[in-house]
Amino acid sequence: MKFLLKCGETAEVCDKCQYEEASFFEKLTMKLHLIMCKCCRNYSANNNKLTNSIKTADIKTFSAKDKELLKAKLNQEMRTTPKS
Amino acid sequence: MILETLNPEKWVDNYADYLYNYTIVRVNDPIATQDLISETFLAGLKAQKNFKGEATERTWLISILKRKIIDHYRKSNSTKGKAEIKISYHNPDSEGDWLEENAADPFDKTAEDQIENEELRLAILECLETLDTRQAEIFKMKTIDEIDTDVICKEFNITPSNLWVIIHRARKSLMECLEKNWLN
Repeated sequence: MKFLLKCGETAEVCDKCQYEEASFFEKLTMKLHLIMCKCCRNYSANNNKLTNSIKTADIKTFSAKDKELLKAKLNQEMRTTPKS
Repeated sequence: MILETLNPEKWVDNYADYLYNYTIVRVNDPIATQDLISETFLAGLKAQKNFKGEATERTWLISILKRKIIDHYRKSNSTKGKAEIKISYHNPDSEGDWLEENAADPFDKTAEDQIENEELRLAILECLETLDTRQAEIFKMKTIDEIDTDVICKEFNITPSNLWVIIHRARKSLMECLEKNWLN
């Protein structure tokens, strides 16, 4: 157990926080570090902003299965039409 | 000036999500969207020799896609009268209400929000293209599809700490990229 994190470790906890995967103790030590370190405060603020942007953007993705199908279709087409 | 070249093998990985988000807000139908995109890629393959290399691959594909979307509109609007406005008031008591109900509500900002969201969405996807393919793929799985850490680790055969390093790098370059392209 250690209470004082380095900046790199803080960043990792901060990243985990964005996916709600940091433990209570990790969050506590991160907060402690943030009080002392302006750099990490900036990083943490930007990181939260990025998460919020991605949430509001509500990006839709092709499902992996559909992507494979599309790839197969393209590949087949590429074989039948020779490159010019 | 460096001329762009086409890599059709990478189209699906690099542009499918971008084109999907571009189309879905315009067509509003997931199945039609997928069809349009596969048509676009196929048309792109056939028209490869017309690509002069002056635009980026994505811009070129978008220009094909735009035409496909217009065709799609035409097809779905070919039955006459679909775009007509219908006034549903027939008795004299409720006269005048129609106009009021159809006036724009100044406090209703949903349309503007949607436009802004679309721009943000495309900006994020553009920035994702600047990452390397594997990094982008892992980031998308983790962040957008919200797949569990251990599932991703198994699929890519990496340890969780590897994953967090990749996520950290991806987030950092995305932040920088968005700061440049979006916030200003």
